[in-house]
Amino acid sequence: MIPAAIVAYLIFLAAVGLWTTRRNRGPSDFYLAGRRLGLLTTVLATMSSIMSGFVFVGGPGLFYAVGLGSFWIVISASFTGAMMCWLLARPLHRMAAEAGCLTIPDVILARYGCRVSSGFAAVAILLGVVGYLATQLMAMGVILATVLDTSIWVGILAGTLVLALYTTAGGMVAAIYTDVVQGAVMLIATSLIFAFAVGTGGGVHDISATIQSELPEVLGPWGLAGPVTCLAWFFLFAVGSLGQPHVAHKMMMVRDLKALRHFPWILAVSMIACSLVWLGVGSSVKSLVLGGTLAPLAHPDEAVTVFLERFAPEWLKALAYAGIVSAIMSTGDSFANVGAAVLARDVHRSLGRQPRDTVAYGRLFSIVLFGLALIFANSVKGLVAYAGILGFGLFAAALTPLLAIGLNWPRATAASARASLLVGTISAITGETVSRLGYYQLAIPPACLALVLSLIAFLVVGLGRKRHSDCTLPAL
Amino acid sequence: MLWLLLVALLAMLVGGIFSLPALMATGAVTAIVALTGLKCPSRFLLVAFWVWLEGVFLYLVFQSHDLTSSAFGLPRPALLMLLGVWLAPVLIWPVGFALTFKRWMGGK
Repeated sequence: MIPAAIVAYLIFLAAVGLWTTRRNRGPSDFYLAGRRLGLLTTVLATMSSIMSGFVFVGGPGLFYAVGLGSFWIVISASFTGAMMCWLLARPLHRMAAEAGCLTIPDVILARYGCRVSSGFAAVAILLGVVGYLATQLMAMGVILATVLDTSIWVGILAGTLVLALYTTAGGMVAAIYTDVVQGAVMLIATSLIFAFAVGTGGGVHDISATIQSELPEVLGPWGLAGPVTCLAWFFLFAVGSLGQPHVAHKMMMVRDLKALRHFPWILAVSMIACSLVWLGVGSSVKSLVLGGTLAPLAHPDEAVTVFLERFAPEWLKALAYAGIVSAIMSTGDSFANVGAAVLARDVHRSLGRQPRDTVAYGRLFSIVLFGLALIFANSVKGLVAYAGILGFGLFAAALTPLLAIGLNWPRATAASARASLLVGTISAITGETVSRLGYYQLAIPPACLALVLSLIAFLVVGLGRKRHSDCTLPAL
Repeated sequence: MLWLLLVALLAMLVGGIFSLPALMATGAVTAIVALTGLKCPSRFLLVAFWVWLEGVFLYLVFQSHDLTSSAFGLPRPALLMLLGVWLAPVLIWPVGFALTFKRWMGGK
């Protein structure tokens, strides 16, 4: 039943994507879904692109490993939507409408008037997108291999084929339509898995009692991770989310800003519902292992799959795997579109060439991007997880100051942008590399350190300039 | 707001490097509020958010060892973390955004 359900779901997604092909009449449709998004489509598309497979697989695993402290990663979901609206929505929406911007590097060029900053941002986005997309493809391969009882590479290729088919054919229009379906599947799946997981563990009270009697630190507010690491996660994911290009990009697609009035609280409620799976499965599996019902996991990331295989009925397993595939694909399609735009437009313009501004080139570069991600996934297998971690940190450190502060502060200049991009990119890459090699000794994670340093660099250079400096902030 | 943001970030940096959770918590909350203050049309929303989160964070920093059971059998700090940092902020900023939406749209 489960393989048939998942195959049917994949065919359905591909069909939805192909159905939207006719709706792509120009670059604005292909990259910005024609700027026609209403409230619910914006909410579901934003939520599903933020909530990757990590929430289903990595989150419960991290809870199993470090306890409640892991939850600081998603805890800021309750208010980041409001920050996104206040700081990004209006300037990005207006730049898309009035300056014809289609991508984040377009916005940076329009705002700072600096081709170096725009090109630097394009390269940072491309690096992050290839790494992130490779992680999503690998994760999808693992899940499809489990469900379809095949090899990981067959799973990767099958998943990539479906994703590439609808992303290439339908561009962002297809991504948004499928995101709406995928977001709805994710919400239903996470809510039911949460209820089932809590029930299997004997209820919140019993789960809590078992964990408290065996390993009480797990239910402390910092878990086993420590307060500095948890607070750094909180800051990184609250503020760093503003620099994620696939999320910020959604603000450029909104039809009318008036549609955003209820966006923050609806987004918050849907993200809270989605992150229930993190709490439910993570705490239930920990309690079942500590209580002796379940053998200790070989690897924390097995928490959700072991739980489903051992306890869930077939229909819930099918729904859960559909939810996981949805989460992975909805993040993957946004990255694919953002990456294709960088290859088709921003890289060419940075080199002083004419951007390849047609739907045909968008499709061609989508295929190129999937090829790059597959090559990356194959050639640096052990580094794919590292690339995924680096991706978020790189986007956060490189882009957050330029977008969250720079779009709202007239005194920010091209010099601030260049300083921040340089400090953010170098410190993110160096920090994650040193950490991977085992030489990083600080409790604050390298990605958070890079974000803080990059914000400081942006402010110091901007505040150090005189008021009559080369301000190019459009009338926002 | 930008000078406040800079000071808050420096506090976070010092708190993060030298493992000082109270400084780190204050720096993080203040930085988020100062950054949002660039465009948030209501000082009340900024102050309410800062006071609420700062209070919860300081409680968590200094009382994290408290294992007294409370609702659902959860230790008191865990319950406060979930209610105070995860759920309650929805009522401050996202709902506050909807309530002050006209002011934000009008740019007043």
